[in-house]
Amino acid sequence: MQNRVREERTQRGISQAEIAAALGVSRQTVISIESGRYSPSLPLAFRIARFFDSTVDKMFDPEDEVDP
Amino acid sequence: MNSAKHSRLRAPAIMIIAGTGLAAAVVVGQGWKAAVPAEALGVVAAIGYYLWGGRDSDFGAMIGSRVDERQSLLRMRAQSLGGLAGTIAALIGYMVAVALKDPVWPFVLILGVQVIAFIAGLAIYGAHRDAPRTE
Repeated sequence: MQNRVREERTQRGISQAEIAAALGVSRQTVISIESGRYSPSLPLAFRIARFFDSTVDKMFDPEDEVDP
Repeated sequence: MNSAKHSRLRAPAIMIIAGTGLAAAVVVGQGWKAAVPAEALGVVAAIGYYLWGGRDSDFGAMIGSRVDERQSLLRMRAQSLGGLAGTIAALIGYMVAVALKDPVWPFVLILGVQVIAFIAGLAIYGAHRDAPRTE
């Protein structure tokens, strides 16, 4: 899943450790999310979106979205 | 902070208890002298776990009992793989024991516990709760 976490974070000059502490996850998890290797749970996705004053659908883009 | 420190002590405490249990078994079977290395092994493992548990890594977080959701998933997958490997090993052990006419009860016990734990897991984590169909 593609996301804008790295982009938003670097724009604001926040370190991975800082955002990890704010979201209550490990730095390794922030790295995994930014690289698209891990898709966060819905509660974490909402926390990320709120952290950046954004919405989940703006922060995350399911590239392999399946048609219903 | 205090809670984090306590959680970091959880795995080392388990290692100490397991080491002491093993040492007690060795005392019963082989006497005091042979039990010292077993207890020492538990203490060394506990110290290693404590030091490793402080590391800023996925494994350190798991050892230190402070996992987040991704690390929890990672641990669960690794435990699942370990469980599967244990089941296969017990099954092979059972077949070898049957072929050699050795006692099979240890393998039956392991397989039985794993099957019961799997069924209990399904029940505990809600696989029995079938939601009613809605149109």
